[in-house]
Amino acid sequence: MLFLGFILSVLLTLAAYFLSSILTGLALTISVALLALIQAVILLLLFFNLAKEPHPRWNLMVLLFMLLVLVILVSGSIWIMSNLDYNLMVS
Amino acid sequence: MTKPFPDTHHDASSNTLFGFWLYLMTDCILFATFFAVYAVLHGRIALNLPLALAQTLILLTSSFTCALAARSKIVFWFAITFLLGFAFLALQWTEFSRLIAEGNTWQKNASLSAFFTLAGVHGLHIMAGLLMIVVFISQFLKRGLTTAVLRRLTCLRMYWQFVYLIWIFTFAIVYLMGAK
Repeated sequence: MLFLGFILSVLLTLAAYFLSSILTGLALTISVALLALIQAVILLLLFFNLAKEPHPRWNLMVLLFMLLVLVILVSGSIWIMSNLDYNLMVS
Repeated sequence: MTKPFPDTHHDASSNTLFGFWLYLMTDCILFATFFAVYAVLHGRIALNLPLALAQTLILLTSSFTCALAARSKIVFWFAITFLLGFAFLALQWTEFSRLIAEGNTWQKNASLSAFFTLAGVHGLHIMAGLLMIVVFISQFLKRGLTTAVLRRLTCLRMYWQFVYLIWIFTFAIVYLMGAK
């Protein structure tokens, strides 16, 4: 399982690198972000064995809560700052 | 000792491992703020993509050898992990020196400040990890595989793989999306 995770991670990294040389703009952002997320999930499942944790799944719950905070933090920052940028535009 | 981690909620080490997991998750939030700052302030930075790919593959391999160390030949695999981690830091050092030599220091603009903070703090995590490996190997050689040493082995493995997890996103967001 470890070896499988390693091979998959190498392939995903190379795929992301290859895509970055042919894509631009939104397509690049979405595809690279997706490949990074897939690799993160593979690592969590195969290297961290998150799925094999017995009940109640405290590690998983903490991870999900962290992801909630992360999404609020990152999307909130980008939203507020781009809004400010838009409203302060000199034109 | 071949027991996979972290399904150890039943033994005495479970509280420590859960606490360490909590630390890693809060560390994720620290990095999330740096990513948010970078996303807001990002600009064009002349980064060396092939070098970053090499760094990624080196750190990925070290994450794998670290997992192998938790199964057998602890000292050998951790020595390999240490060398790979050191190679990663050396490559990052050359990249940073090149940027600074070209006048792209962190004082130049907000985008570069955000980049150096994110990549620099990640580099500090690698440095701390290297220190942890040295301390762990010396403890292992001195005491053998006691319960406490085994617990530290699991924490160290979690930490090192977490550092790679952060790097995946640094590579994707800063290097692949940002170096256009």
